[in-house]
Amino acid sequence: MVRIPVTVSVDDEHLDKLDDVVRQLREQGMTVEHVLLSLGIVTGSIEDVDALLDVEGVLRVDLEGRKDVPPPDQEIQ
Amino acid sequence: MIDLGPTSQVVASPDGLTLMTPPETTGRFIIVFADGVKSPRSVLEKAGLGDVVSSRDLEGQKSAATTTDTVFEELGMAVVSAEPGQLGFLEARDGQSRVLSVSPELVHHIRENDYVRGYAEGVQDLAGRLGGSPTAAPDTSLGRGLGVQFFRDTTDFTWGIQAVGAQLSSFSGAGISVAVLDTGFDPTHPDFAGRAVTLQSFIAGEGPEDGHGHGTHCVGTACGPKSPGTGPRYGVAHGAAIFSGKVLSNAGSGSDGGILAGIDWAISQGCAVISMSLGGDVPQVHPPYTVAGRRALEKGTLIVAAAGNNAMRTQLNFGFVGAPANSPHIVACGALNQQLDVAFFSARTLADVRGGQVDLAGPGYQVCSSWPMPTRYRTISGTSMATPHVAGVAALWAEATDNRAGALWSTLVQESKRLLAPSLDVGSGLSLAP
Repeated sequence: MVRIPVTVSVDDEHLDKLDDVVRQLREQGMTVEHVLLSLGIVTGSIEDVDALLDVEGVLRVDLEGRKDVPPPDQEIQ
Repeated sequence: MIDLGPTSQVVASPDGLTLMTPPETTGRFIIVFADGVKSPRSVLEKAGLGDVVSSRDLEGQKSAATTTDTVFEELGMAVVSAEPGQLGFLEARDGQSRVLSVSPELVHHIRENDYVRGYAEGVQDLAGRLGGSPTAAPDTSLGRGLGVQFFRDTTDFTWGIQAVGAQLSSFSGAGISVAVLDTGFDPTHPDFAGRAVTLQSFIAGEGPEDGHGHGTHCVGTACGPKSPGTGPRYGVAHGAAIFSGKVLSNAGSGSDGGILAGIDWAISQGCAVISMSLGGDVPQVHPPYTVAGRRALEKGTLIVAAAGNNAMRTQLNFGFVGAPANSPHIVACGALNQQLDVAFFSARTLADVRGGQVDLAGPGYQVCSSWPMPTRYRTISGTSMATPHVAGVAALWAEATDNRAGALWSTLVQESKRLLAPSLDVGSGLSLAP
């Protein structure tokens, strides 16, 4: 199975219980990469994205996107 | 200080001589009291103008102020009938000015036919542009006073620095921390020797140095030095502390995870402004950036991002603002050229999406700035170049006003130069330095 990169946003009410939420995310199988304290966002990857939706305190789970800039030799950046 | 009102004047203009008649006055005067004056009534009494009613006593008779001399308690102002001689007694005494200004009470009218007149002027302007000579400025009141501005690089300042007015500003961003989240920064660049620069990488397997160039260019525009060793000044907030977060690889690619980590870091470092010249050409808001933008604002950090370069206006493709700039809590920056027209690649507001509007615009065409050594400088174009101009200006305003986050956003919008270009493309216009 493939690990899918995800961005988990924690709701306002659980911002001060971030550690609890992260523990539960791990229990559901998430490999946590970053716990962003100022943003209340946890990034990482998981095989079964749906498993995270029921974790208490999760506002939403989004698939990670990529952002690029053109190669250095391009005139328009 | 005492303004008895305008008189009729004959004014000479390119259109010929015009008689300017002053607005109507009632004969009464509006007095503005200095902050901290506790009893406007006693100031008025000393001038023999104490026969006034307090606004607090006007409950139920709100229209009385139009005929009765009144002190407006909440505004710290009053409207009084007075002879000009009486007004002289309101002047400063003992070096203490209790009155800030005295002005005639003007009469205002609803504007009849303004819509029709504006429409006619617009048609005339368009006809002039289509049929007139290429160098003719539109000869209607729409164009009069705006003229045609054209900036160019000089030996002292890049055109972008002049356009935002940074070279005239007494502010430098001193005491303000600015984060640039990009491909990193070249710390060996001689123009930044002795400067407070903090580097951090969020790219696994790569250090914080800039192996692409884009990041160094953006840092330069936002925070370059007042007097570079050679060449024109190209940086806005020359006194700001620089935080370079490498969230894009040397190949110019980054993930949301790294970018969000960079935003989080910048907030934790106390940055007032985050500049993000990056994005994806997706016509939807990406929800994590909505959350991140909102929480950044709550913590005193304003994020500005590039609107996008996916337009090709010469082919009538206006593009759209992609993520993360299209996020409701992130400022989207469009690009202008030296004539303050929208650059041909600059993305237009993403229609019908909350947050998808272009908010402000900055110089984004043929922008000279720093580049990793040994190249040292490079001139490139993009909404990526407009964004750090706006970020640098935001840092100057943060220093000038102590405003942060939402209040800083509001200040930037208020203090931008309105342009002829549509708001779909430039928002409230060109960001101007304090």
